[in-house]
Amino acid sequence: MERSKLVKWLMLIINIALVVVAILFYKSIISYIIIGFIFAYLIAPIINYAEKYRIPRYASILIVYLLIGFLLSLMMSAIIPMIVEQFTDFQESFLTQLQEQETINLESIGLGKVSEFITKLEEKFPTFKIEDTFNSFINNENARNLLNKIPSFFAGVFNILGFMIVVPVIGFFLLKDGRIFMRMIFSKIGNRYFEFFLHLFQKIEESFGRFFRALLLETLLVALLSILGLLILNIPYALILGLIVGLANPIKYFGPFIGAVPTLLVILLGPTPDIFILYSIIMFFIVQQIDSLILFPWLMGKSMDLHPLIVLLTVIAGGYGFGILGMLLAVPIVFLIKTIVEVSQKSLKEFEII
Amino acid sequence: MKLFKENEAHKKDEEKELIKFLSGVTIFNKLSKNDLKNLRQYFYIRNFKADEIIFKKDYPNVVFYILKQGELKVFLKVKDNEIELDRIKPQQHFGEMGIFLEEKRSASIVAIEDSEVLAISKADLKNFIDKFPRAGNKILFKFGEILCTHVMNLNKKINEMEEV
Repeated sequence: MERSKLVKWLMLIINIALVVVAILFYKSIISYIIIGFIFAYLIAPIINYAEKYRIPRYASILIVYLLIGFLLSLMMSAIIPMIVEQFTDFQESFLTQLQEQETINLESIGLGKVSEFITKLEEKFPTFKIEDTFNSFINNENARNLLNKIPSFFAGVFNILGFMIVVPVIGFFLLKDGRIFMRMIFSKIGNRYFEFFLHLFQKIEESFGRFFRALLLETLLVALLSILGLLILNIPYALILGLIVGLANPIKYFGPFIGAVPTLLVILLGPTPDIFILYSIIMFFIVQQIDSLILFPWLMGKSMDLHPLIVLLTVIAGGYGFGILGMLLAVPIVFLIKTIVEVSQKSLKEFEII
Repeated sequence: MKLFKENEAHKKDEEKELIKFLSGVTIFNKLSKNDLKNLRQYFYIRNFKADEIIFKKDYPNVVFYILKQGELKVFLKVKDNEIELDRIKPQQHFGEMGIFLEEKRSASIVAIEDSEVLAISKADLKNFIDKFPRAGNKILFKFGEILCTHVMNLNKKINEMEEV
């Protein structure tokens, strides 16, 4: 009796060691695997839908891949050079401003009036040091470094050929043989916990999947609306600016403001008359209203029941910890953890495991 | 290499046998071979030793089972006494109530001998029916048939009891 227990423990330790070794071994491509998972997850509904019409999975996956490849090559040939051009242009014009003057202040970016007002304000309230704070913020090394890093990040992503090959291959097998992988994983789970884990997995899939897909669709629609609005206002770099607004939108509360900053800078620094700041703010306001009154209730509904205060604190904490990316990912990750904890607690009780 | 090939061939035989078994189950006997192959993808194969519990009364009703081999006992515990309700023989299915109702398990099931069971989750079965409506129709009609027969038999029993 004692002996079999010992063997059990040994097996457990060996298993854990194997998992650790596997993680170390696959460490360098773990980001590929994660992106491959997300990729497969996003395409899965299309493949499932096609299966309804008796199209075999591998065929529909290949068709979707061909379509994506076609769209990508179309984008590469038409849009990417435009984006890159717009981006480098945008970055250069901003950076030359930064470099021409050793330091920039409110006056140098065309906010002389504001500067005057602040000076007056500071005279009245000597403890106020708004302009200093602003100047030190914008002249901060970090801000400049960040601006320089963005293009190399894009270049990195687009240049890695391995990435372009590995991710679709992972996605292909996950989509085609997903059920086989599921059976493999569940065959390792003991009878006592089989129903529990199956139940848990499906509950989490259901609630987080709905949330994640809705978030993605919302991002896409806000980006499209913003691009449309910017095009109507005839603001340069509309494509890239609208894309930034869309990508920043999932950041709760702060996103719309963060997303609008590049647009406002472009108007300030570029040839567009300054009055367009007002127009574009009105436009962003309208887009936000459409988002919060129509898109969000329609797409998200009650799928994310986190208290607004918790959402706010989560976003701030994410920002402190990991910057903009942290702000973007904090709420989905916290929501995922919350879902797992809630569902597993309930299920553990229902299945009399605890 | 030879071993690997043998293993592969063995697996293929197993799959064939499984599909054949599925076609013999009442609710699936009208499905085409293609449908059965698709349906098989959703099934998990579980092995239970004698005396192992499959599920207990009041567990969530999330998995639907078909017995492939062995024998199972349906029972209820009333004040430490076990009341045997039914026996389940190969090709019979159980847990179907959960597909139609959001109820908890109405009884417990235990394996009497070493048994092999096919399991499909409620959500997956619904997915299959959604995805392949024709095959789904056939399955649902069979379910209806079986449940109606049950009701008829129960009615007969009640009538007989009233007459006595």
